[in-house]
Amino acid sequence: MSTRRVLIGLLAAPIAWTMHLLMSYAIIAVGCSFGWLTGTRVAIAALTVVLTLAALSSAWATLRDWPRPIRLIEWAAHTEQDEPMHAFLRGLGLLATLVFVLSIVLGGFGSLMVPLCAQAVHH
Amino acid sequence: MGAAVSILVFLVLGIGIRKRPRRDPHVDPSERVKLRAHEQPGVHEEEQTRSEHSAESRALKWVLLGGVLLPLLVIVPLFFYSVVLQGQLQPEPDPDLVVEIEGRQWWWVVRYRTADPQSLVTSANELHIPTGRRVQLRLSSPDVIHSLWVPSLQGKMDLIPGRETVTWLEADEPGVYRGQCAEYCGLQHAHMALFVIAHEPAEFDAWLANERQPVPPQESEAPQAPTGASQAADTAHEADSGTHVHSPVAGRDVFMQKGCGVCHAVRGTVARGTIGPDLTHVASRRSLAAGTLPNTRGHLAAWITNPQVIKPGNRMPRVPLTSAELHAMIAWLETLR
Amino acid sequence: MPATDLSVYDPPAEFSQEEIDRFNRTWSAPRGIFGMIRTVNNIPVAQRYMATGFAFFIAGGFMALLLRIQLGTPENTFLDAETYNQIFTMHGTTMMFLFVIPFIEAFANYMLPLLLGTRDLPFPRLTALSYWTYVFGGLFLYSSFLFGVAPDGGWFAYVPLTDREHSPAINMDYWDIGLSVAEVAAMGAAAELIVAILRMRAPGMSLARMPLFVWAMLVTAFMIIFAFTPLIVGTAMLELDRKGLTTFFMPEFGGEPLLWQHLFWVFGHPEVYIMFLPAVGIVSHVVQTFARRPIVGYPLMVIAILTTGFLSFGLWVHHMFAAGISASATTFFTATSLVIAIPAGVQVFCWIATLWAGRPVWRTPLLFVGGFLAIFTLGGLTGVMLASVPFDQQAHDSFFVVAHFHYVLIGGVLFPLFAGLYYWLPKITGRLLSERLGKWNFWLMFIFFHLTFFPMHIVGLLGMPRRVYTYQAGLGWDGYNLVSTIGAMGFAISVLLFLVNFAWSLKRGEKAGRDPWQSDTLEWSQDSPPAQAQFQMVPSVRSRHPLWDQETLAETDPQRDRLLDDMKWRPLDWRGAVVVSVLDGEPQGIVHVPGPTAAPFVMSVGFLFLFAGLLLDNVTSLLLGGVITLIALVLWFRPQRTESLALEEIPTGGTPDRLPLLVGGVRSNGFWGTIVLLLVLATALATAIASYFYIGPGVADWYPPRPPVPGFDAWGSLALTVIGAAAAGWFVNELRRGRRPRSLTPMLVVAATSAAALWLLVRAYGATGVSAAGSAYGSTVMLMLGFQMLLAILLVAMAMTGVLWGLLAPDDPRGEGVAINTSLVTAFTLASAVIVMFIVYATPYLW
Repeated sequence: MSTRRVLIGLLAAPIAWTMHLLMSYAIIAVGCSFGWLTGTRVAIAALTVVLTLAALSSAWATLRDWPRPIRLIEWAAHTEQDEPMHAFLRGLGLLATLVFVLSIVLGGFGSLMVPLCAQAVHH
Repeated sequence: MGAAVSILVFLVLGIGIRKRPRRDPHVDPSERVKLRAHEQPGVHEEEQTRSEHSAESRALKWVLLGGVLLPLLVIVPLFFYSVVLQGQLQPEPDPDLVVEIEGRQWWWVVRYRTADPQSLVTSANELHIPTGRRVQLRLSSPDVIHSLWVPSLQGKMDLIPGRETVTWLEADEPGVYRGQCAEYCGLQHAHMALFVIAHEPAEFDAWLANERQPVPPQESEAPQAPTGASQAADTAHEADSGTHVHSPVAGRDVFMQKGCGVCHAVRGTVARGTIGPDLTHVASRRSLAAGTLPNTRGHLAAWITNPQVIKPGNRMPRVPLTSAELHAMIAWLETLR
Repeated sequence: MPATDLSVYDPPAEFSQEEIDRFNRTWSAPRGIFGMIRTVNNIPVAQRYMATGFAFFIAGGFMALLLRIQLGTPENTFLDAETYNQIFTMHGTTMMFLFVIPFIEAFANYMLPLLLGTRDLPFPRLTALSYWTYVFGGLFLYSSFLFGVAPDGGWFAYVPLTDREHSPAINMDYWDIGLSVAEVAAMGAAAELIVAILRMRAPGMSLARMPLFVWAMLVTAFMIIFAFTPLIVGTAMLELDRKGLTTFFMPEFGGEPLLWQHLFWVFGHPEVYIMFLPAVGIVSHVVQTFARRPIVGYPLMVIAILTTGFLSFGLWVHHMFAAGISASATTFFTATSLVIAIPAGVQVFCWIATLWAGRPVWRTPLLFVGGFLAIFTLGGLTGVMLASVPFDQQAHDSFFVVAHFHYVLIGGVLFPLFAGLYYWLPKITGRLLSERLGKWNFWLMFIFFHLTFFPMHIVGLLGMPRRVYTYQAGLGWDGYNLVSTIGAMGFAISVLLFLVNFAWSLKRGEKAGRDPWQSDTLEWSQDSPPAQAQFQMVPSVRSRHPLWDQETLAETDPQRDRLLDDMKWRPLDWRGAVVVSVLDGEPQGIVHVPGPTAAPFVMSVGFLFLFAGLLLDNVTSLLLGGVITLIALVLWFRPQRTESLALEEIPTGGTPDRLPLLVGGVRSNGFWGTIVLLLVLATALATAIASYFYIGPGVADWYPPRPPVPGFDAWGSLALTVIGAAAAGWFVNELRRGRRPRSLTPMLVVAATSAAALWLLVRAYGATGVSAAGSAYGSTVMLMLGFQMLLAILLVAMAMTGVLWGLLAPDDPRGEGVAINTSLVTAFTLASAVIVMFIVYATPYLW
């Protein structure tokens, strides 16, 4: 497994989460300024689904190439220290994915449960 | 819930503390816990490593349970609870009453919107509301950012220059609720309080009707418009000579002649200033200077005599008045109910 | 167990005493007053840095006491409103910017080379510059007290309260300028730490073997880069507004006061974790050592640190839940604020599991960790509560929040710092602190901490807002406030006890020896205090816990051992260090570490004149500052004798059994430093773009009726940027193909095109017809084009250095290094130019 793929596995989820946060914020700002309520909600839902899948697919790619039986606890408890860096970083990537996917899903679907636009208005 | 979690943490920590304490490590190197297989005679290295692994795995399971599962069980429900609650707390589209509140350094303008869009009832530092009604507050600020907070009735909402923010409140019981500016807004941020007074709806309607009334016209001994220093002197002289001791009408004239109307409005008179609070019904208010002082005769006198001592830095200048002028003015202000 | 054999640090017999003295002399810091300002070694500089930071801590604590005395009783007149506001502003500013961040960075500056097994930091002169700049910036800020004009707008400086209209005096100018200086110093130190951690580890120390404090500092340093840059851009915008040149935050010109809050909190929230993550590192070391076993779940700790670093950038809006932001936008921040509890939970349970599985010895450092766990858990819980918008709207800006963040910051940062001090001070001073006083110190601090801050939760929920200089009696707040004030006095006594303990230990403390705690990491293999020339022999790491697991720190693989021959009590006359590959820690080469010079000191004096000139609008002072800074730059970058010596001794190509000397290219420290610079610039550009769009779309009539059209000037500057980038690209491409192109011509082209582009950019700004002082739109256009102008100036300076090298020493590989770094910046400048042009000239038509 190349270093590049390992880095993608490590960084895909945090990057997906960052994009989700920034793009959602922008979509809401633009959507509310034009008053497109339904369109904005659909766009946020779609963005959430797409980025969740993107983050999960990187985790799936990592899992597919996992050399040993998949036991995270075993991996984390692995005190043998001559393991190649890749296995170490890949495990990290897998764990990161869980946290960031949770953030994306909660934030994305939560935002659909509350009023979309603030009643604050510019003078 | 919070208490339960922290007790749990201390409990787990306590087990660690209780366990096999050792002496100072730096005193005797032999106190070191044997960590590696090759240090323990008689134990086969591989076997030792394996048992180390399983001990580590056990510990890790606890980490995953306590560090991942436990927070998950707390945060996911908390998140949805919070979001649902947030949805419910949003401003109602159809409020029973709309009040505009403007934050100023360091007091509040309160304007009641009535059926007639042209006529706003302006007051200050006190918000009267009917009980059991949803009152929408439209917040703005001409100077710096303030934040409206009436702890018993509502969560904070900022008053931001250049935009209007919206919040609402509703009181179930009649009473007086204290609020205060919650965003640091400069020198006298500490003295920017506001009282919310909840009335029974009928009582509120009566209150609002009264608040809308201008000051009834009164016969004047001097022209209402400030025309010169001589008249002010005359009035003061009369007051001094005791012919009109503390006459409210004389007090009104002092008020006008000393230029108070440049900053303050008293509806029904020529005083139309907007820099300071509207004083049309000042005597009916509970406090002076945005909750700084209780509204009594003595405090009012002290405030007018030297506002900069009581609330340094506020916009009200010290206007030199003779004692008679002061008392006359107070007598008039006390009629503004 | 036989301790790790440290005899490798005894000089081998084949080296003569004369050689060993020469080696030691090369690394020793110059003596005397003049020597002091020339010193760049990490140890003496970091010691001063820490001492200065601690002095600011005492000052900030003293101010906290004044605040508490004032609030002890209702309607107290101990402080007037103006003084109170100045003091609460300076208390926050001091603790955040002048104590925690600098102190932690100083601590890392001291400990990292020891933990990593290297001899110094990659850019020692930058360390010195950071220090001097920080000292002068801090003193500059404090000098405002002398004139009674200390900043009074809060450490968060919300506009419009802090703009020219509402704060016309120079109080907030002091804050703006002094703060920018402290930030620049912090970012210099961060760049240093990143390159040190990625490149200057001991051979064999792969990422999976890095001590957790090192991991924590790596993430922290990156966070500093990404978080401080928006703040620097923001404070620059605020200062421009205050000088009347722009109108970014003024609603009457279409500006947006909330933009400041975004810029401030996108820094301010990561800042909390910037302070907390190093504490995570410290706690992990202390727990490991005193539980007498390796930490449970090392990889989980690493991932917890990494995810915390990321997530901390998605929290900032929770400081603005009461600012009328749409509910749907706040849920993302609620989600992140809650999810970040997971890595925090993992960390806490890893420590608890370690204590549980080990045999804890409750010495003072571990006591402080216990206090940390107890307090931080409570602070974390109130944090989870605050993540909920409805709850936050009640508690926000009340004393509840004051209680919450003091639980997090004192519990989560100060207690671990004290743990770290009790743990590592013996390494620094060579003597152990008194255990008895230490225990008193801990228990007093723990008890009085709760006494001070617990009542604030209650008084906050009772409705007491923050930042009030007094309150009325009879609101039910009096008793709680009095208790808090008494608690604060007790807390101050506990800090005093620490100082007594420290002073006592210097004279009477038990000698620490190399490894007083039988600990596991490399710093304990060095003398206490460490020699100026630390790691005379480069250690080889084969474990996460080298002193527990390795029988020797010497290299056991003969081939690799031979590779490192050049580094055993060598080089003799110049400072050399090893650099390794980022992931696996394989030795890649030797770098020259610059030695003593007064240039950083001179430069920070120049900065001081620049700040004063800026503050007072004094042109003479500005010019003087500019000249002094230029002189310092020349002093700094002129060719050094020791560097030439290094080039003579060690070839840059390397051979199979000899490491190369790395002076330029992708493996040199300069290249990695440039990458960090590009990260800073990219973040600054992103901040400018975000500001443009944030103010823009919501405002009616935002764009002028006739938006700017790119004319000859704009197209010309873009074309020149392309030409410069092409010349630099050609140069790098030739190098890649293994040829040795001359750097003179491409550097001349870059310098000339950049200078011309700068001139055209100024004209292009004039041609847009917008006025920065007249509208917020004009201000953002100026911000975008101004950023591009700054890039052009930077390129001119870098390329001119390259030109000088090309002229004076055409064959010198150092010139090639300069040219490579310049090329990186040209590529960035081109990308940035395209983006800026698109936004300024195309977006008005897209909207």
